[in-house]
Amino acid sequence: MLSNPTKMLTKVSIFIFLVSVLLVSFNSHAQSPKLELFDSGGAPLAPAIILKSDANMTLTGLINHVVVKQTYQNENPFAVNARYVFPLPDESAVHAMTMHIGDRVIKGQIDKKVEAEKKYHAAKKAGKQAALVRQQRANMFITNVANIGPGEQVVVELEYQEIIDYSGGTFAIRFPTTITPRYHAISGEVEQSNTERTAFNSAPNGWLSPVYSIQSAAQSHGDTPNSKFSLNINIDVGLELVDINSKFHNVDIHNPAFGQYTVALNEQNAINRDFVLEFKPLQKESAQAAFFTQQFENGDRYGLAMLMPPGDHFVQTQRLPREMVFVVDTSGSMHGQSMEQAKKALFYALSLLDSDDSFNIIGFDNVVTPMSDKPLIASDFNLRRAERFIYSLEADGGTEIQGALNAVLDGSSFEGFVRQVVFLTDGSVSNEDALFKNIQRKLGDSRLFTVGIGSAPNSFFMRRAADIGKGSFTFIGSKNEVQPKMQQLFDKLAHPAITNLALSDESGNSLDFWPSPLPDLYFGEPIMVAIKLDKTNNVVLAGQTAQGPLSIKLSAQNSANAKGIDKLWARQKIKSLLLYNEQNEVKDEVQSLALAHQLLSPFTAFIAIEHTQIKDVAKQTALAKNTAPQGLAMRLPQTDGQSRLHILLGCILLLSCGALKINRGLNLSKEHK
Amino acid sequence: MKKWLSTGLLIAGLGLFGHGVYMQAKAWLAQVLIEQAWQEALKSPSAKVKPWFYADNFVTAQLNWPKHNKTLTVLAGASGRNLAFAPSQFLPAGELGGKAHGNPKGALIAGHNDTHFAFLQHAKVGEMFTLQLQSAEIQVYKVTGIEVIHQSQHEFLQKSGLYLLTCYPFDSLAAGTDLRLLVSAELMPDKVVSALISSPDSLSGISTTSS
Repeated sequence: MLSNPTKMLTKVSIFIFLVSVLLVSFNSHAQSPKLELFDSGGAPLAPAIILKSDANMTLTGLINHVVVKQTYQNENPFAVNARYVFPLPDESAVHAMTMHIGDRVIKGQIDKKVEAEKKYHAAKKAGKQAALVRQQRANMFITNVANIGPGEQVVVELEYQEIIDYSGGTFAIRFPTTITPRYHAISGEVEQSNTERTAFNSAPNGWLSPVYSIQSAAQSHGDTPNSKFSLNINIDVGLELVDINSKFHNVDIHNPAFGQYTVALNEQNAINRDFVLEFKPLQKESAQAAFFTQQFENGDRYGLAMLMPPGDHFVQTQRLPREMVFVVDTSGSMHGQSMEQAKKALFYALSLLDSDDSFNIIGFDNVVTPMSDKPLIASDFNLRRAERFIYSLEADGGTEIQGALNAVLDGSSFEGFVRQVVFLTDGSVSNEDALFKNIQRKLGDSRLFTVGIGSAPNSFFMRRAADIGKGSFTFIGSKNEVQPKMQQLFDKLAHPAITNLALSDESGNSLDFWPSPLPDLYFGEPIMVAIKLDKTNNVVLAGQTAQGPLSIKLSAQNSANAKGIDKLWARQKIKSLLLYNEQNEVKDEVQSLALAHQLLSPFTAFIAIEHTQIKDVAKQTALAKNTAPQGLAMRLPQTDGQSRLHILLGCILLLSCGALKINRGLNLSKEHK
Repeated sequence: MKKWLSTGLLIAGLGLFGHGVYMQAKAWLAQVLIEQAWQEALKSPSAKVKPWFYADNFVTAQLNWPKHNKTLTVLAGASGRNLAFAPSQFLPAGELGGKAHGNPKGALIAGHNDTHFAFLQHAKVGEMFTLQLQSAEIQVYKVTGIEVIHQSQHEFLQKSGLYLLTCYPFDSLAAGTDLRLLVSAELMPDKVVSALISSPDSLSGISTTSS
């Protein structure tokens, strides 16, 4: 038997034990704090993540090899998952991904998208650090990083290749830095891809919510973007260059050796508009044709050919009258600078019309507003009317391109005149695939020329639409560019195109070349084509000009060696397959092609997993922000009316006029007396 | 000299006066036609009914605010053209009907601050109004907040509810203000609504008792 005091002591100690157990359990509960942030409106905010991105470009020949480094820094006192939706150039072939955590480097593996997503989610659940990179659409990508510990940094490095742009004697590199919010057509078809749907499920119509909320959040925090960006370019095209200039950013340019140039971005707030660098060869004649090849050990040999047909191939004996239809996007996303640019482009285009041309202007947002029911002769009277119509255009509503396309394309063919449709838009749509199908079906004899407007247009949509529409794509990035770019476009419109282009070897056997079919070629544009050559040495390009058939021989014997042509070839093939076929039909082919060439595609993804576990599994996901495109803001409607003020002022004026009259009347009567 | 001055004053005065009256008349007359279109629209809930034969807009809902004795028919699409005729639904925002119809985002109706929505300057928190949808369903809303915001602030649209918007300040001398008066309203649950409808003096009396 225990004595009373001992009993007492036991009771007390048990009590203390219980209390301490309780305290400990409370403590452990408090060990996983949940920091909740709210904005001024009381809406909960997700934890933020700091993002730094750097791009390093190496330009050799016609190929631009780019390494994009995304640094995710978690400043929260708890682990988070990061998600970043970002743009890359339209034709970029993403072929490698590496994850760096501290000193550890984990090489990303290409896998089927579904498999990669499974692995990523398993790793995320298990508290392992992992990175997943997926292609959301051809020019929009998503990086997911799981379990970034508090204060930790994870670097995701992406590598891609692209063929640089060459048009009108000017080379151009474009690097998008932000995304124009996309508008989902309310009546349109939603994309087929499953992941797309899960990613953006919350907003079946209207603005895509994730991109949209990023935009609005970025705007509300003023002009200081959360992310940092640096860009370095090494150019070694093998030609002496002139007029190297960045269109919309400040850059430092150096010329360390003959034919070699380095360009570095020298600006802080550089990420609210696309980066464009243009340069020209000193001697245009030396940039008429180029051939690069790549030999693999297994005998595979790939070639990349560029050819600029001489200008006289585009001459026509008799000028055909034209019917020009200008379709202008007046949706809400065009509000501001974009609409001003579009109007300026239209005014300028009108001034370039010939008196025997006919024209029409169609404005569209969610409704289609044509200026006239049928095309009008370009008479002074009609042109003045058109100017008034353009002047009255206002940007609001959604982007229902479908309706506009239905209004201008009906699949009909024409005798004795050329019908050209010039489409001015920022292309902020997301049902691209459905639209492409529609254009292909209804094009007929019309030709579709797209003009990209604004500081960050969806050039993927417009480039593809122009490909299918057998026209060309022009990008106008600022008001100052309207005139030269529209002039260039009208040069193209005025000259007949070279059509039915195809490649074969000398004995007439067709080659495995992409893009296929080759798009029609316009004045000032080169052909860029990737070919699986294997043993073939001479390539013959055949086509149809207004004067007769065209045939040009290219020899691969004097070609320069280059790297990564196989990837560009595969990328072009994937693009053509998806452009001209139903997605389900070509899925397997695209997938195996992408896996074989280690490429990101709609059906493949890069996954990297670190196998050590972190302490706390992240419970929240932070979105890395994009900056709103310059000049774009979704404005709330303007509703101030001055009618009452006008009535009031009118009354005052009328009263004072009356007062004058009475005054004069009095004066007169005085004089009479 | 004086003669010219007075003629100038007369012309300018008539012009301004006429323009102001024209705007007011347009806003008022259009509502009459649009109201007729609304009665048509209620008969065929899925049709897009135009208020007049050449119109490029259609009616979508009707607001009824007994406290201020206002019945306003709403057009779809808040373009400058539509706003001259009627309060209009801002389409990039959520759809009308709110949570009851599975729309998580807020719906926004904008109106001119010198005509249809001038009365919003007298609106008070706690007041109730109704929104009739084209399906003839009547929803009751209660004003939960009135604030002045900048036109670039549209985060509120992520939160469900019905928002009425007009330019601020009212009767301003300058055009093109960046400020907006935002009236936020919350959908009342069905229970409350049926209680209200069964009560004799219906909606008009509620606004005072609830505040």
